[in-house]
Amino acid sequence: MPTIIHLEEIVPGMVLGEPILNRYGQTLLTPGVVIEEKHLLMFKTWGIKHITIEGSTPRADAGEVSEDLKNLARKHIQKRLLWQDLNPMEEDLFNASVERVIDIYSSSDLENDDD
Amino acid sequence: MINIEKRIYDAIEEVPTLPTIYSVLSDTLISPNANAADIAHLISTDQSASFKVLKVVNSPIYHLSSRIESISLAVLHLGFNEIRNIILALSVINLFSKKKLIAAFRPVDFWKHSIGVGVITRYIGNTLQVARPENYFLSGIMHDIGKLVLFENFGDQYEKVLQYSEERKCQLIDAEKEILGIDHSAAGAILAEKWKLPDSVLKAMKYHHEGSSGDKDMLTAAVHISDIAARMLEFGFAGDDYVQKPNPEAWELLKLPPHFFTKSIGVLTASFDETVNSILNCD
Ligand SMILES: [Fe+2]
Ligand SMILES: [Fe+2]
Repeated sequence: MPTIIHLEEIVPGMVLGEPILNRYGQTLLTPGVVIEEKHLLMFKTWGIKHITIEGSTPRADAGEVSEDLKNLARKHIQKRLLWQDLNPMEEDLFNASVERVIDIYSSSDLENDDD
Repeated sequence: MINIEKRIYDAIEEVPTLPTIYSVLSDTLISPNANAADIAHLISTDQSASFKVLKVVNSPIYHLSSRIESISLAVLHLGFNEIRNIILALSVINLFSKKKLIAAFRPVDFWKHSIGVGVITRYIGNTLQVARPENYFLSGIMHDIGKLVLFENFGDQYEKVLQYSEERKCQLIDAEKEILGIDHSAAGAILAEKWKLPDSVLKAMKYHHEGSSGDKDMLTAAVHISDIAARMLEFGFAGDDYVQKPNPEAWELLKLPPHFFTKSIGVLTASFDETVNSILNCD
C-alpha cells in the first residue's frame, strides 16, 4: 500500500513507490529506488515537496515495526552479551539498543553482519 | 613477557608530548592573572580547533539553551576547564589518527567507539549533576587509548591478540592479558601519568573494565557503564564484538534514573552522530 509523505518525513531506507518526475515529465527516479541521504538533498534542489513510498511510514508508530525485525535486533544484541539475567537498568539499556539496531537496519548500515 | 612493562614505559617516552595549545592553555589557567578573554583569545587563534569545539559544545548532550557561536561564550557557559579538556580530547584524536593501523582495527571505528563513550559519559555527568563534569567527555575519549599504544609498539603480537579474541569469543582486554601480559587499561594509565592527566581521569582509564577503583569513584563507574552502553548501542567498534557484564557496584553508585537509556537514546544518538561528523569529518 503506497503512502504519500511529505519531504520532512522522508528517511533513508524508504523505497520509492512511484516515479519522481521533473516539471517536463522526465523521470528522475524510478519506483523501487531505496532512498539514500544524497536523495534528500536532490529533492530539496528539485523543489519536491512530496513523494510516494512503498508501504506505510515505518517510524509513524513504534508498534508498526514488525515483530520479525525486533526479534532479529534482539538476537543480534543477545549473541554479543557475555552474561544473562539482566537487572532492570540492563533491561532498559537492552531495549534502547533494540531501538537503535532497528534504526540501523532500516537505514541499512549494518551490512556486514554475519548470519 | 617479563620486560613488557618496561618496554611500554620506554615506548611511551617516545609518545609526543601534548600539543602546544594544550600546554599553553594549562599554563594560562594556572596563572593567577588569567581571565576569560585571554583564554578565549588563545583558543580562537587556532581556527580549526575553535570550529570543532563549537560543534562539540552545541551537540544536544550539553543542552545549552541557545546556540553558541563563539569561544568566549562557550567558556562563559561551560567554564575554562570543560573547554580546555575538549581541546585536549580533540588534540589526542588528532595526534593518533595520523598513524596507520591494520584493517581489522580501523582508527575511524576506534575513535567512533571512544567518542560514543565520551558522549554517553558526559550525558551521565549532566544527568547526575556531578561535581567535575569537565572530566567526563575527556575520560570517554581517552579510556581505550592504551589499545593504540599497545598496537603501535607490539603490532605483530597485537594481531595475535585480535585473532585470540575472535577465536575465544572474548574481549580484547582478556586476549591482551593472555598474549601480551599487559592490557590496554594499564598501558593507558602509564600514558595518563606521563601526560599528567587529572587523577580521576587516570583512574577511570585504569579501571574502566573493572568498573570500580575501590573508592566509589563516580567517573570510573560512568566510563565503565558507558563503555558497555556504547558497545550495545553500536556506537563505533571497540575492536571486539563482546559485551561484558556490568559491575553491579557501578550501577549502584550511579543510581541512574529509571528508563535512563530508553529515554535518552534520541539525545545520545543525535549527539554521537553530530560529534563524530564534526570531529572525524567522515560520514
Ligand atoms: Fe577498554
Ligand atoms: Fe572501550
